[in-house]
Amino acid sequence: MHPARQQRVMIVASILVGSALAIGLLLYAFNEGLNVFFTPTEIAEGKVRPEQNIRIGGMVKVGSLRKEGLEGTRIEFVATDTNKDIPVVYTGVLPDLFREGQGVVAEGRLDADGVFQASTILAKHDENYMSAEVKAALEAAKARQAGNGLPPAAEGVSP
Amino acid sequence: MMQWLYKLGSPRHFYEMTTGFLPWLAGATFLLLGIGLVWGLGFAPPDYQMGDNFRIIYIHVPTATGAIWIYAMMAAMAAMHLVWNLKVADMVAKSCGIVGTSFCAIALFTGAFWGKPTWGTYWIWDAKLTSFLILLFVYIGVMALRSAFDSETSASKAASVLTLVGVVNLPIIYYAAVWWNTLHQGPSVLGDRDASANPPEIWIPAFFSGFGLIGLLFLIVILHTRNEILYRERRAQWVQELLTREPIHA
Amino acid sequence: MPEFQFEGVADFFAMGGHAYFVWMSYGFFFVVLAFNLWLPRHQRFRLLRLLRARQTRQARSESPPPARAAAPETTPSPGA
Repeated sequence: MHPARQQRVMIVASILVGSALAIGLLLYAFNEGLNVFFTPTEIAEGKVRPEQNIRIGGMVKVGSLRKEGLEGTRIEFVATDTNKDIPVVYTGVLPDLFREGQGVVAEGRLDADGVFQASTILAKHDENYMSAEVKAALEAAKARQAGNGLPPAAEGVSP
Repeated sequence: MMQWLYKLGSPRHFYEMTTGFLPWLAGATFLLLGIGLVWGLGFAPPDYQMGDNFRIIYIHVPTATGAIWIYAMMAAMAAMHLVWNLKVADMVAKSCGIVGTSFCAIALFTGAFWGKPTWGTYWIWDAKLTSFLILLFVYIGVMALRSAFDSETSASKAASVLTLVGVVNLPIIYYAAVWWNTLHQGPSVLGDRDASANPPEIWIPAFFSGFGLIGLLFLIVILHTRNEILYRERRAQWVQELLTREPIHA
Repeated sequence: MPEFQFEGVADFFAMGGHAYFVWMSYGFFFVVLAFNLWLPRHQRFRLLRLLRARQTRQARSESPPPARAAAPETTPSPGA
């Protein structure tokens, strides 16, 4: 290759490598801070001070949702990452996709009793889209599998 | 093949080859896009949770992906321009600016209007959304930097360098939902038999609208590039001759 | 074969109660893309007019009376 051209290739390569390195180090330094929520496990590890304004994320534990008042304006549920649980209390309007077994992100603070007092509830959606028929077929297949004594497919919070 | 590519490197050949190719590209683009959007809006089954609101996916995902890929193309052109001093590459890179910004804006806008009824918020400062917003600013920055120079040579060099720096952002956008926890979901996996999620009746319309939008991207970039060629080659004999032939409407 | 998922036009526009979000998204999409298709055409015609005007000026200054400068198709049309 022409020496001048070779030099220009090196310049282009060093721009790419240099900026990747700089941004990479920056992201590495901020790693924890770039998470949009804390998981119940992280809260159990004591990463959060009580009364600190934070977001928590997890799945609404199946069977834990309790609605109080007319039209369920005040709700209680347990957010879980399958490892640790955290009770959540919330008063207000819920997004359409909020339901048991689905991902949830709650904004608020942890009180002294370890209950999360949420001021905002956001629903987290996974990357799987399907029609009601497909979903029903999937559920039926899962039920059959469970009936055969096979463990149902593990359903975790999407990363 | 190599000769064909070599020819594309000459502004005049690029212009002449695209002249015959444009109507076909435009036809294919509008056909694919039309099928994809009509199918997606009217015929695809609604999602079992989101209902008809999920139909936004047929424009949100292809425009977001398109905004990322057109940036990759712009960066490849910038590298070619810097290494080989290829003029056409710089003209193509310049032509990517407005359409890339537009795709970014569409992806952010449709994402917000999908997020509100689904998540419960128009916006959240998570890694995925924030890195994508940065992509929009990088596009605008590259265009602004280019227009800040009087000399065309300096402008294209500076814009090329900034474009290359911005490439770091692309993997961050793609992997944001994997590396950090975000409200935005991760990339969908198609054809995963075990999960049987994302079945064909859901993604086939997206395939049409996706390829339609890729066609549209190329169409718009080529149209801008042809203008740029005419302007930069305005003193060349072939442009002077073309001027006497070409009709003026509008 | 995929079936039409809605019962009539009104039902289609209602989008299962999500009309505002769906049509805002698609509306923005079409407006921005229409602008993107209009812009290069508009710029092309402006550029052609500009270059042709320059060509005519040049032809006039180089050789005042010849046939080419007097030809009707080289003068910018007033309706353009």
